[in-house]
Amino acid sequence: MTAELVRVDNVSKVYYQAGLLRQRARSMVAVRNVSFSIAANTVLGLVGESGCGKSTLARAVAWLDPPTSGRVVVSGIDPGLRERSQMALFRRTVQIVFQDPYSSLNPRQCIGESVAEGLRNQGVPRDRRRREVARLLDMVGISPNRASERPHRFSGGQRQRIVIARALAVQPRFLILDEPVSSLDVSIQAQIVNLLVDLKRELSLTYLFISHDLNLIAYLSDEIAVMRDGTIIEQAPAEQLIAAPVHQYTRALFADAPVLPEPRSRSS
Amino acid sequence: MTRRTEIFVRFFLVVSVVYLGALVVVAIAAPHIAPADPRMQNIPARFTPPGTDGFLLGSDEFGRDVLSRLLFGARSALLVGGVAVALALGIGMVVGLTAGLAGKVVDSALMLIMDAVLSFPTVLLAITVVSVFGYGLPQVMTAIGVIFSPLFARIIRTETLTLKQEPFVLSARALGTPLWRIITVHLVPNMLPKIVAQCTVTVALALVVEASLSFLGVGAQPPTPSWGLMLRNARNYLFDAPWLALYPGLAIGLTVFCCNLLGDLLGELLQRDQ
Repeated sequence: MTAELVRVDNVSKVYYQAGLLRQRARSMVAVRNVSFSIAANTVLGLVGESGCGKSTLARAVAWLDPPTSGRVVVSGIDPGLRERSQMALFRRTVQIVFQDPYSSLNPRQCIGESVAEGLRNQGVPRDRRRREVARLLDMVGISPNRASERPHRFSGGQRQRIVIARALAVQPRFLILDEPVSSLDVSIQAQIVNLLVDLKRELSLTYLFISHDLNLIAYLSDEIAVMRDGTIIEQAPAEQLIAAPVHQYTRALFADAPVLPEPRSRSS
Repeated sequence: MTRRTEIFVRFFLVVSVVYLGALVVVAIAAPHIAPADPRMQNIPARFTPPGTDGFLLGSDEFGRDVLSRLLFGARSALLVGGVAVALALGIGMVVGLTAGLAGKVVDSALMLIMDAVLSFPTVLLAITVVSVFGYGLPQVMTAIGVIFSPLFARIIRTETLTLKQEPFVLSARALGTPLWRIITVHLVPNMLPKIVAQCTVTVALALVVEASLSFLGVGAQPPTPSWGLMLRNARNYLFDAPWLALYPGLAIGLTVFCCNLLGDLLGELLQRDQ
């Protein structure tokens, strides 16, 4: 195994429902003591049914909704230290792609602007930005000529390509993919998954791939973690976990259709 | 919407835009198009009925030309409407964004203040403010601006709370976009339709409050041409010179109606575009 790139240590996320009079009247533990590490250039697949805390974990690891307790260290960078330089470095190292491509792009910004956002934040001059955007769009299979168009002119699959280009603009090493293909047509899903596989190889990326689709996870992952009720109940290399799941819930997940936690085509 | 209501809606949209546009032109060009000085008194010609002796809309108790006063009154009305709404929007924007982006404690505190302001009857609160700071249009504008700021603060806060959870805003944060850019590029442009709709509706509200205050004698002071003030003076001659009340009343009513209409229709149209 290669060197460890991502280390998630005892991460918990608790939501408090604070009232005006009674502070911390009710609390809800969305993620409880989750730890894992991901080796560089590998894919950790995270499976679990809806509402088990997958997306909360993704947002906590991306430091968008920082964990209540625990540490996240990516390539030696710890955003929990609250240092400006560390944070800026973390934002260049870790990127996230969300499920819904329709709300992932600002409807009032042309897609070129969206893709250039990370570069602009780094102070890249305008002409270099434009060249970079063209290169990135080309890389994900979108014609650079369309950079000045608004998101509504693109299909779901195309938008997800644009979103991926935007994330890759800052040359991250670690990509969190939170159900990136779940809201796409099955035929488009395959295209995006193949794009992700190609990009991972070309740019030597590391993925945390979150999905409720077991086939997809099995296809992509080097290692698989199974999440339920906010905790990881089982984690093992992919072949091992598929061949011999230890936990009963995992066995139920991998068993035939009737026990699958949710139908394939869910409306969300 | 059916084709018929669609045409209906578009028609009224055009009508209100044309009327309000004309009003703005009239307000700006008032000195050039008014037939007389709105403050010039002509006691022998008092209470001239409309259409006689060169008084197109008649003259008032001092013999002043009603049409000229009406045209100049449009200035006061639009000035009050514009400045008050700009102020309300400014305060509402700061409060709403802060409440939406800061933590729960700040949010609760700010919204408590806003709700407190909103819980007072508008005209009563305006009278109180104007009584403390003095009569006159500048005070009225400020008072109306402050009083209506919660309307904007609420909308902007709600929009901020929704938008900041949107994946495109989260993505911007993940890319390290600074807060001011998130506000100006991602948040405000996406709440603009609702803000614009609220602006036109609030202009109408501001006009009504201004007219009420002037009517009560705490707003525009004589001899400033103001529709509310014209109504106030007309009250004494309602039976002898009904045109004195008719024209400013019509002006206020039409303007408020068109603003409300425009606000509603804009809100609906912009909603559908999204």
